[in-house]
Amino acid sequence: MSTTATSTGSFPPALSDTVREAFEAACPSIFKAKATYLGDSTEPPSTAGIVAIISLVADPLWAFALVLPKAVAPALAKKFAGFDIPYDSRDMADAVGELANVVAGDIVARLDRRGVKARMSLPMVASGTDVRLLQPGDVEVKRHSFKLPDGVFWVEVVVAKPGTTPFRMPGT
Amino acid sequence: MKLKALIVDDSRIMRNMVIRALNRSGLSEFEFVEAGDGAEALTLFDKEPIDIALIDWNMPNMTGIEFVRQIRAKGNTEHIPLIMVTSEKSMGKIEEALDQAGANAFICKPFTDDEIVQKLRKLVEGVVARKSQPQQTSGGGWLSRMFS
Repeated sequence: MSTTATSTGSFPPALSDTVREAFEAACPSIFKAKATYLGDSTEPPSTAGIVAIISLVADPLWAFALVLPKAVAPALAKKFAGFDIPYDSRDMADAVGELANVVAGDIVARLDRRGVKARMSLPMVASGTDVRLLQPGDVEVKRHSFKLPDGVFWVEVVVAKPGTTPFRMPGT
Repeated sequence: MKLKALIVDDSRIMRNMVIRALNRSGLSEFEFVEAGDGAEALTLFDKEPIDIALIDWNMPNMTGIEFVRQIRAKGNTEHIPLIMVTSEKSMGKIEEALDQAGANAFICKPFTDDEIVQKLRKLVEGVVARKSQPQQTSGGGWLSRMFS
């Protein structure tokens, strides 16, 4: 399955599918619940939240962002870590970054089985109100939404157009 | 007998999760030393008598796999179990850790308590057995090493 973005800019389906599969597979083991997939390209509501971004070096360069709304983050972080984590704490940023890191490892392994080599960066985490990634002009974006008993979260998959490097590189 | 466990991960949350899992495991009593990256872990390793180490792979300053390589390169460390605890899951990474770098075991995140017990039981038993052997005097020790 090709992962290369075409010159016309079509989004590589293998990347988007792999991210969706990895998050769907992760939810039962991490959050003890199966996620319902709500679809892609759904515009997320404006909300306070926390976002963890991991970029991956593959062909093409791409990144994903895990976005947890403020209302959802503490419950999901507690299920992941096993203890309460206040939303406005460094530990929350740590937990969400680590969540993204865990799923990124599975994404890399799934791509590897498809014959696509990728290396992942360390996570970058930010929080605030009306959290959304402001994409530079040279990327394409697909957004997946998932519903858990604790609420909705979403994952943005961002692919760099050929010849550009808009993301943090692996090892950094 | 308490074993001194070095926990290496740039995530404080993950270090906490590993420590909690080890405390719940019942494998041994542990005393913990923590490091946020491979370079800090190397410094601690030289200062403290570490019995076992659990190490993340992707960290700033020095990766966990490089830490493992450097520990094994020191020599006389083969009795200290080094266990990767990482989100890396590909076969290439597992082989690199176990066959090339010298790690003893590989635990994928997220891990369960059962996985911790299953992967660490024999390693911990080996450490406990080794530490339970009577300490020899310096002279006897020298002779033992000469003829062992």
